[in-house]
Amino acid sequence: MTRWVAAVGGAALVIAAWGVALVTPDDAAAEQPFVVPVEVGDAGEGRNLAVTITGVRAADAATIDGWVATGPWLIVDLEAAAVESESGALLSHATLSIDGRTFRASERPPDSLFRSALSVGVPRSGSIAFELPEAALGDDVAVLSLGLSEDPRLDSVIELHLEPRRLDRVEEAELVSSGWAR
Amino acid sequence: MPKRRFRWVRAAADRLPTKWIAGIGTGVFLAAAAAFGGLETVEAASLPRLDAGEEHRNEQLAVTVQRAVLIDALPEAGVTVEPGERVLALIVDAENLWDEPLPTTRGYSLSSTVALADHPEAEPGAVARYDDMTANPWLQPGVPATIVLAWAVPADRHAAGDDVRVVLNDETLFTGTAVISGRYWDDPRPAAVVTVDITDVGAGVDAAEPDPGTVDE
Repeated sequence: MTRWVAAVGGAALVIAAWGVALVTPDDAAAEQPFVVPVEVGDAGEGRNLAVTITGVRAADAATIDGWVATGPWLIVDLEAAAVESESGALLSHATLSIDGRTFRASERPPDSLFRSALSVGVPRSGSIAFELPEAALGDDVAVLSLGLSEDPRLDSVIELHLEPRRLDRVEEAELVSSGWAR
Repeated sequence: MPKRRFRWVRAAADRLPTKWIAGIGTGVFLAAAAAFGGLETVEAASLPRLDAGEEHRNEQLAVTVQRAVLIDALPEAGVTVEPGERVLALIVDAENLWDEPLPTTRGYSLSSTVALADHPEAEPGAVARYDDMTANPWLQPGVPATIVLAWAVPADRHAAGDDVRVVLNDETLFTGTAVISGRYWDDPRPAAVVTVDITDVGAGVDAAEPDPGTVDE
């Protein structure tokens, strides 16, 4: 046992400590939402939310029930149901993240599934709409996140990755009226 | 042991009557205060002055006060008036320059950053979009919107042709700790003053309803 053994051992411990510090998750990691990734057309089920995204559209203007507004808009058509309980089962969390910016589903359309009540087992169908700046619709990556609580931490969220640039842009798109899916 | 070269200080201090020290101190303070403009409030004078249509930008928002309207009632925007009151409405172009959506409810974004200079504590009684009258709209990042901010005011406070001075505040971004999570803007500080002419539209048919031809710009 000589001094160099102690020196090498000490250095190894310092490097190991550095490695541990690097891989330690930050405080926020403990309360991250549980992500359920889905594709368009697939059903995704979280703790109390089952969602099937049936389509994603881009349009210059959105309309429903006589309301018209120029955007551009990104419209998501979906079917959503609660799984366990109808208590507090509102589709309250709907965000779209593009290039570091987070957009919230618009509260402007008079009829939308955003913040609407869901039933257990019987899906509701309808749309949610995102009002975006022009640049956001030309981006390659967007992440749609849907959940029941406005604060999505520690609950499951349904997540869809999409490419806004690839969407066919129409002049005017009508939101799907909210109703029973079948 | 005091240094030799400071000995004169001691000698001078011994000759100075103690009573004079307070007098000299007060004189120095007053001279310094006078040199910096006396005891007057300087903040209001140093704020940039803007006219209607000029934009004020900060890290959170770009705000342009377009016009001010005095109207008998504006229930579409969600403001209620008592007898003897009228509605003072500001039409404001706003764009969220931050990377998260901003609510406009009491205490947030436009509600706390746009204030009347003469009554800075009074937040707007109602905030609504100009085009479709959505109440308390969210401002999405990078999406400009025209917003109506409405206050119920005593009917005799303003008259047509008067100016109203509007203070635009800058806020600071805070990151929540302990029981508060996320990031939020707070601590409004006056950053600019906009002077706007008031238009009296009386019962105001055309100002109360959104132009049917315009949707959001």
